Amino acid sequence: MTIVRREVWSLENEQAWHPILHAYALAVQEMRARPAHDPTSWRYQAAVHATTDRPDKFRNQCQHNSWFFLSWHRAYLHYFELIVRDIVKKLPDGEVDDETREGWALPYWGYDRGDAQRVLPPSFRQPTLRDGVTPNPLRIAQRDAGINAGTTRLTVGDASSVAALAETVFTSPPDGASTAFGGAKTPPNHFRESQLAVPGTLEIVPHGQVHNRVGPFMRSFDTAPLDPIFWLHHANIDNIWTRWGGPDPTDTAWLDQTFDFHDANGTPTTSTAEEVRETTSLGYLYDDAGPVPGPLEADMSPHERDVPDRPAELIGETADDITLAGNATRAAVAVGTPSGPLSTAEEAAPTRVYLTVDDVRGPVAPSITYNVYLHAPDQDPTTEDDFFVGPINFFGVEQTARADTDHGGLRFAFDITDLYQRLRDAGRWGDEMTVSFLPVEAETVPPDQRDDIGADQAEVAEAATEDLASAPVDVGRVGVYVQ
Amino acid sequence: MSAAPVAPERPAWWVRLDWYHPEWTLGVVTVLAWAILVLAHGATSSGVVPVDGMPAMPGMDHGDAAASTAPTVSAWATGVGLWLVMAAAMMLPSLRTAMRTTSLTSRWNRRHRAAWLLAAGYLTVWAIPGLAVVTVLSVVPWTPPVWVTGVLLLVAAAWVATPVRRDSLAACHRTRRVPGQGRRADAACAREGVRLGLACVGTCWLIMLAATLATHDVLLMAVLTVVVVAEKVVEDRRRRLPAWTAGTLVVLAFGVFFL
Ligand SMILES: [Cu+2]
Repeated sequence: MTIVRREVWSLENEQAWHPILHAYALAVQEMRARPAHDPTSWRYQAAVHATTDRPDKFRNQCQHNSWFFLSWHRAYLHYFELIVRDIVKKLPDGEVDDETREGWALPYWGYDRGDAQRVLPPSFRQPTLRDGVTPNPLRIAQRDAGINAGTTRLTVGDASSVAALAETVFTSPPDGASTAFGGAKTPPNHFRESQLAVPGTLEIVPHGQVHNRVGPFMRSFDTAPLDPIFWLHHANIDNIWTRWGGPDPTDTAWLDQTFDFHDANGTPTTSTAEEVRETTSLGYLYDDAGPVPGPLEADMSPHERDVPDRPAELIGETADDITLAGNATRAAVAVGTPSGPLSTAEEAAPTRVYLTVDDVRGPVAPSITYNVYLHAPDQDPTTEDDFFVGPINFFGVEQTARADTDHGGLRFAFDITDLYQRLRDAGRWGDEMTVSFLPVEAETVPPDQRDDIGADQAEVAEAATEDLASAPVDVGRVGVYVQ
Repeated sequence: MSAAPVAPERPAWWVRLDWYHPEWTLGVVTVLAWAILVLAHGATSSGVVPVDGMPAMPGMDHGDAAASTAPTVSAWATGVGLWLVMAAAMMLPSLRTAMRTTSLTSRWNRRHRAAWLLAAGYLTVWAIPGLAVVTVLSVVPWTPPVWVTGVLLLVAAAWVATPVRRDSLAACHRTRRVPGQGRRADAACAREGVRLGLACVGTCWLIMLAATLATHDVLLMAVLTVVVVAEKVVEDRRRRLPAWTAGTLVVLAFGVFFL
């Protein structure tokens, strides 16, 4: 039987405490009660993503900064969904109807579908279950106050899948600069072991942005899956993969790489990308069935450029570490001309231009993110949005403070070919450019659009959020590459 | 009708090798270093240095057996030189990822310079314990018995299990992007090399000490090199197993004891 994963806001709009969400809440409660050594428990499932406690072939396995990011998380969600459905099947009659029992599927948080969808869904903010007494397992205190109160929401930039869907290739060679939809071609890569890899565009936005925006648990590797919204967030990332029109890799290195999981009975099992490439072979579909241009996709313009068969070449970079501490921050980028393969190529202009933000380190992720801009020194990104490069977030940055990880810091890469051409055409591309980082907070929901669910619970968490907002992080280098 | 677009000519293989694998120069240097080691070993067994079951140290007097055991400057210099060749042969290949990463993320005209400044900083760090060992052995007339190497390998196996060793190895895997131009870029590359050298000494000092005291046992050196390079070049942490490293060292120790 094929089950259908539905968009969470469409469930919320049908009825408060939709049976699918009510059943999910009870299943989370049950999983939380299970002992941490039980592979089907809440804590064990989070440890599968990341943990410092007895990592093994099942635990501490999440894949990031790599072409395994999407396939690993699809399998991870699938086994989690099996565990939840198994629990839902056994729930008592008064709590769940037969239809939900048989067809329970993990909903997805379709924040890239419209303004209303960028708010955390009500079932995750309600203080109690529908009986009005039982504390709601889907609401956790470790979220930013405004998000948990429904008074702030993800920004358009956090939620946008436009840049990801515009990518034409799934994977890129690990060369430190070139972007792709799904991530660089690496060996299994838990954090940032692969020194030349950059994350896929989808992994940066919306994936990392949403992690950063929701709250302290969602911002860190070890705790993200302890927030029940994590699973709906990743279901949307998985959904965006089904909507992407490009071809998946055919390399056996991608198809045949095995990862270990447990099924609903706690029995060890393995999974490969080959087995999860089609969602139907895992027994599920999405309610939107294929590419649907939402409101945010309106002005999407896919890159039609091919990726040339030559390495990307560094032509510009910043000189010193840049500290981001909550304020608008600028740094000079010294720009030269290519002297490598591009300088001898037939075509004079680069086919692709990239901007990288490298070696981002810090002990704790700030709750704010930063938008990155590139422009001439006398231009101002706050007055014109034409210089926008992309957003950077700090999901997992706490791993860079650990002595036992292989990271060189977080790394980001953005395709800035259009921006480069605009600056060139306007005569503003010179040997000194400026990179600007502007802080971005969660967006305030206009008062007339609020539902007040969970709003009265927010005060306690407010103070903690303030402390974290501008927690400093260091950027090692910003680079400009041409290919 | 317009002519069909002509596909751009694919550059020669050696051009593409330099494009994508600028660290090929490391391969050349590694081969040279091993050639020197093997030749030195051959010279030893052919009797340049007196052998009574135990080949001579690089730091020891390479002159006539009848000559005084007093250290000579040239013997000492030869010892230091041979020690650096050994470090280059055994340790430098493990710098492959760092050299490649630094090359590919440097300005094009600096890609080889950046990588070799890194390597220079790295070897400078390794030269310090080398100087110490060679100096001590040139002053103290002592030919370590074989079991010393075996014991050192066992201690090295135990060292693998320590958190210091684990963290040092993680630091060996880290790279940083360096500035683009000028002295600042040169200095940053050398500094990175020094940082990696320190991390590498923390990871491998016992292995190198064991190899030093068993000098001219080229087979042992080769196996130890494979162990070291495997640990540092394999990116997939799931395939980097401390138990395998420790196990191999224990097997080598028993090999030294009983063969
Ligand atoms: Cu995630």
